[in-house]
Amino acid sequence: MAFINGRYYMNPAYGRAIERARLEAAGLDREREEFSASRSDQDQNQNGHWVTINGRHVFIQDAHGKGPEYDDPQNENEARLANVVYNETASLRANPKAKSGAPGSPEDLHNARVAVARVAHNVLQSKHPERVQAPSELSSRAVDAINGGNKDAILAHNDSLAAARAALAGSGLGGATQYRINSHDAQKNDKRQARCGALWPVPERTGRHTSGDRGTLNKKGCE
Amino acid sequence: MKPLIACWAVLFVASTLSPGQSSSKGAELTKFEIRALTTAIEDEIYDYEYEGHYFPVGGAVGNAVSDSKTRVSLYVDARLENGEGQTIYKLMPYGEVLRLFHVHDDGMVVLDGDPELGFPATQPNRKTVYINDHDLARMKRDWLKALFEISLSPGAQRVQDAVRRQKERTGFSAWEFHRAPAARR
Repeated sequence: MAFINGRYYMNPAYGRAIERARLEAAGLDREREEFSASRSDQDQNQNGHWVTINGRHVFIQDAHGKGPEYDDPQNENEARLANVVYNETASLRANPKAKSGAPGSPEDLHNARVAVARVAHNVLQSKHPERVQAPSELSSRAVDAINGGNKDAILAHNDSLAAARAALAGSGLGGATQYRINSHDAQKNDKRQARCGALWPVPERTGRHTSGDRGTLNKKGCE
Repeated sequence: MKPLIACWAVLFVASTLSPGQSSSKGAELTKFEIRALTTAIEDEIYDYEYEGHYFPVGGAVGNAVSDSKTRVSLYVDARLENGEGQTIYKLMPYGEVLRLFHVHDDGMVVLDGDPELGFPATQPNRKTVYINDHDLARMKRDWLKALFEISLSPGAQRVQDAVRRQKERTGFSAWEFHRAPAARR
């Protein structure tokens, strides 16, 4: 099911046509220009595909068929949760020197994203969904990066989406509703951990760090 | 007047190393890098078109120089670790923020984080309201102090310079994304 400009359509082509007509009728020149341009891009280059980012159905060009493909969320819950996880963790990079499954490895980063997704899901499902965390919509910079085919951004969003799906299908991390990603944090005594980014989901009631879902991550440029 | 003189004194008595020399582990920030940092902060504000938020009806944020120009305080940790530093300043409309930045070998300063995320408590780049009061007071007391300047009506050339430098820094310009979609295709 395609999610176009905030609405769901069984038929993406029909949805695009409806939304384009709606924009034209509303006289939204800028959006129409962008929409038309995206369509024009597609007409000129078929080496790409349509995806939905923040309710905008955009055309992503594949760099000569190479580059990672953007994994499209299947519903709004997935999309919003994946966006929160992406916004929280997009700047983190796995350490290429880390062994598989070890702290800082791609698996470790994914596990941390799952932990973030679980906590974010708990918050979104709580009686206080307005509690402040990263937004559930992508920023302009993120949309621009993904739309532009940025490999790191697409891989980070795909992994965030996978984490969101795992969180939606799994447990709620014991009701935890807090976490913090640290980098160069003057408040932490453990400088190595603070500088390199430790991710700590914290159960709301006890304030203690959980042991099972703690990931030690490398922030970009930090080894 | 005294605080202003003190701020500029800090800038001028700072190390005279050339750009990039202090980017190594545990180095001190130079006056060139502080200047590059204030330029990066000003550029981001103009690129995201936040300047109007520094001039609410109740009075300008910072020390108003005129009806359309204000100087805003900046606190910078003098220490760089692996080219990464920290600064505290008022980034409207979000409020006062703790922000990381990176000094590249060519002297360019790149601010960490994405303003549109709103600086939540979960992120390294966060509003200072989420920082322990004692730690925040210590940071402001011990760190270097400087100023950056914001104009309510920056000239077109100033904005375009900011857009160009933002693209050099991060590969992205919010101004171009929102105002000139044709230019980014």
